[in-house]
Amino acid sequence: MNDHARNPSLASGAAESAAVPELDRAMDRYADGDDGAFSSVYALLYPRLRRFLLRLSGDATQADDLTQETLLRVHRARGSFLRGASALSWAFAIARNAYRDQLRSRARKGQHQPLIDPDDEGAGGGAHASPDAGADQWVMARETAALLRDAIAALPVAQREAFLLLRFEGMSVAEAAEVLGATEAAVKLRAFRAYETLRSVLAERAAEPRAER
Amino acid sequence: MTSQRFDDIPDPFGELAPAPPPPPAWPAAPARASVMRRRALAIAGILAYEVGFVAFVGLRPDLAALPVGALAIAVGGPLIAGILALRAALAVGPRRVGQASITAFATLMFGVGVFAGLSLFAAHGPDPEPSHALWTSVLGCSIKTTLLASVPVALSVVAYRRAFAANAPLRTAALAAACAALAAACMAVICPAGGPIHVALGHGSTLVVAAIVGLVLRRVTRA
Repeated sequence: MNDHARNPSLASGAAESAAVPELDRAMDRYADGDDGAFSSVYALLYPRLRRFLLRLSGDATQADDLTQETLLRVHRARGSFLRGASALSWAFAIARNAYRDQLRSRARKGQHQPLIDPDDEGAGGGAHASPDAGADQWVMARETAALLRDAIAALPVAQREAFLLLRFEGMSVAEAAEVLGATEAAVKLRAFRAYETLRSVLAERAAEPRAER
Repeated sequence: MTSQRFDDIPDPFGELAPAPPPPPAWPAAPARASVMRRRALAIAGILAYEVGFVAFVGLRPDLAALPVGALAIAVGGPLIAGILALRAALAVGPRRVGQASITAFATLMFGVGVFAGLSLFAAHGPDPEPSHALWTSVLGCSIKTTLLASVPVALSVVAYRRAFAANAPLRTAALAAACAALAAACMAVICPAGGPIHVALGHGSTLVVAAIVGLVLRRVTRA
């Protein structure tokens, strides 16, 4: 069995990597005024943006709204998309703006960032486990996933963004640095701090006596 | 350090994602050609305004008698600051999205430093004794420089509407500071005062004011 068959995320990651040049070409055509290219841009960007925004916001409904908002911004800003630019990095930078705008708006209204509902199927929640894997293992995986989601949501935004881009979006440090408008050293530091926090959460979880779980 | 290092943190969101809804029908947005036209018009408008302003106010009376080197420094200082500010605003990295905010900030501050340094150390005339007259002339020139910068700032912000995906606040501030630097260069051919305090404060302080205005206008240029 190859790596892709064992781990579906690797297979989808490989497919997404292959789609990046296609996305860049479609975005270039769209920026040049070819309205027909929007369906390709939309189809290629939507899943990536939605997943990034779900991980960033921790809420499926928010992620849906933010994805639409980001794609609207991509549409409005298409004329400013530089020839030869990375469409994915550009769209992620716009998604980050949309998320930060929403955070500011919520802060002004005194609303807090919601933590994700562990039963929300739209959020995944299984962390690669399925009921077939055994009931105990499945429950543990779901609990760990819920714990991690809460820990990610509790990270400072700058650390969360850097960590998510490096760990789950498959970006290099240089790519993430450009999306975040930070130096590579700053991105590494933020991501590493996030990693340390999450690792300590997992270590505490592993150290808990089995009876307490 | 790469993402390989983080592989022991599992993905708590899994891979489930709903199918994308059908693409919405949004109103048409300007394409590249339209944006480039808008920017070209803005540049033409800015140059026309600056030339018109200088013509309206009149050239400094001692312009013909001024040594070429002194004039070059007086005009070149702010122009160098403007070019560096423009670079801070528009430079992008290998993925053509943006650059690190610290790099943009350093470029902008280096330009301001060049302007301040040339104003202070290569002044082509002394300041009068600090007095009411000095501060009145500084205030008068800073108002003129602000007027000279206001239209370029407005036009450039409109021209770069929704253009900056990353670092919009700093890049908008740098864009506005570049406009103020152009205004300061124009002031060098209008204002006969060459004293360091007068030039640095009367002509140069507008860079700071414009940068603050740029920060306020960041939402216009952010994608």
